[in-house]
Amino acid sequence: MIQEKKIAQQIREGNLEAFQEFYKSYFRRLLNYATMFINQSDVAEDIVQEAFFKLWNNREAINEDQTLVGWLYRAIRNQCINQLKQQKVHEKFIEFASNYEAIDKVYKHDFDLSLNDADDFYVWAEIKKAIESLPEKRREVYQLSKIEGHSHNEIAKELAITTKGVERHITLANRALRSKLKHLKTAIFVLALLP
Amino acid sequence: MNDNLQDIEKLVGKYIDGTASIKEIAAIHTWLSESEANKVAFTKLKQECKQKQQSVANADWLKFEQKYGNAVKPSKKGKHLLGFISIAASISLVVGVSIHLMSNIKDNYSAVLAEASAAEVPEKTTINLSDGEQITLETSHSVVEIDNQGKQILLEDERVVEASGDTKSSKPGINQIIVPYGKTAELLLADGTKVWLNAGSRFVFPDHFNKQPNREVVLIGEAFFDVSHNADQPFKVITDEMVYTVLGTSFNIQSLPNSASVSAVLVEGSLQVEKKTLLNKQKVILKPGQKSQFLPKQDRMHVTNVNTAFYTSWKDGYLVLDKNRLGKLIKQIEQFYHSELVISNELIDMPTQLSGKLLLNEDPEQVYSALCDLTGMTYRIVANKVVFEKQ
Repeated sequence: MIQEKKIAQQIREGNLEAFQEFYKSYFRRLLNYATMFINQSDVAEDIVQEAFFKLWNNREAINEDQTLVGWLYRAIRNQCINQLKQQKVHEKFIEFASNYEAIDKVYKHDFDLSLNDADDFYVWAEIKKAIESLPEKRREVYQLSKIEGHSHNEIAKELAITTKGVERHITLANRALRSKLKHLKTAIFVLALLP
Repeated sequence: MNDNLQDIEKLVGKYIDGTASIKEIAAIHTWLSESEANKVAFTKLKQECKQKQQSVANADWLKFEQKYGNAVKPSKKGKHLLGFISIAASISLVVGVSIHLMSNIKDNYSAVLAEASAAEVPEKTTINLSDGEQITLETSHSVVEIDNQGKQILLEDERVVEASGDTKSSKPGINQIIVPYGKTAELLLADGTKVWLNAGSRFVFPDHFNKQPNREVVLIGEAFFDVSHNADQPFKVITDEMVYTVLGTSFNIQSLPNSASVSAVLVEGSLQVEKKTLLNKQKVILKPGQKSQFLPKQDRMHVTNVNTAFYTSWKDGYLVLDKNRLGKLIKQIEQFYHSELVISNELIDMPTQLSGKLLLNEDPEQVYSALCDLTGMTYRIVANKVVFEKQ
């Protein structure tokens, strides 16, 4: 921790070598995060690089109470959300969304960020709640498909129903999720995400 | 329990390397929330996992640097701090550059080059060897040769010093030669490449180029290169703003401090000129007889056809005179002797019949009077300035 503070201090003073060390330590971890969000590695990479570049340019203005990597984490998350507005949802997104809280907590713990800003995962918690509120069979099909990534055929075999039945469950699940999430302020964002 | 710990170790490692899946990160979360002890263990594991994947990390940084290039520079504060330690400047320069040559990351030079261009130029030609030894040469045109093994350095055909680098490894000794104003030097590198250094230049070069992907050298100032051909190991000249890449050719590079002039003139072969900011990817390939000039205000490269003799004759100890070139000639003389010449525009524009050669004598006053003889002017020295007037 003392070491991290020293590096942060050096970066704030404009030490490029310290910044390089910092970049090398955190780039991959943050890229993984952004890729989970965006699922397009080139776009995710641009977002992470851009965030580092902004950090370097604003190094003197960043509040000292905050870890630099914590600042990056937030900047990247916000940029990813912006990006999602322009992009169709990817298969992995629901899996990511339903695990968002856990992932967020690991990163926040790692980056020494306060765990208290609850508004952070309001949307994600809502998605989870909405999934949980589906009728049991429908939820099971939805989770097997969207979260565990099984094919419709596999699910049909596993649950001893027809493929058509699986597809119907998924269509209805999506419809239900949409209507349940409609009341959210970020409705446009959330609805755009759901297939 | 042991198995469990090993699993967690693996998971944290993957998390740090950025290869963990969503489920794996979720598993770390479950483990973290089990106990406070696990949180402490996480911090410890993080430290242990840090140093893996250095090659990936280096490549990541290189990509970043290429994208943002010159936009990412150390702040001026840092430069000031370094400026105070002027005695250590030449040593830190060598160290900084040796790191660069190993890591192959171009922009590490930015700070080094900025430092060096601000440092004082010594009175005598000086060589700083990688082991810290400093050698001064008395001649006005010094000749330095490195044997083809990279083991010895021959000075002025008589003195021999041992090179300090390990010839078997890829870590050569990194040497620097500084040529004062009014003097020149001639250097034979281990690969057979010949380099002429113009007055007021600094040049950083390794004892040998063994086991390196490129033959890399650093220049601040002006030099003429006659590069020995080796298609497998491109020769790269790194300057403040540019990287010049060649396979085997002869060319002149001028890269004066503070971007006063950043140009290259190609005599023979082919030369790739690349601006270091790859943000806007500027690259030109020169043909023989062409000159590239970087225009900093417009941030672009300008290529023209030139008479190469005007730009390269200094290496043979004279400047080529041609009519209508008085203004340029004045600049060349100023650069060579680091003096300030004052001459009215009226005199510069005056039609003259300059032609022939102007010998670059060690004593600048001989050059000033020769110039006066040729042009019918007189000169006097007023407050360190050389003022030319009509006779």
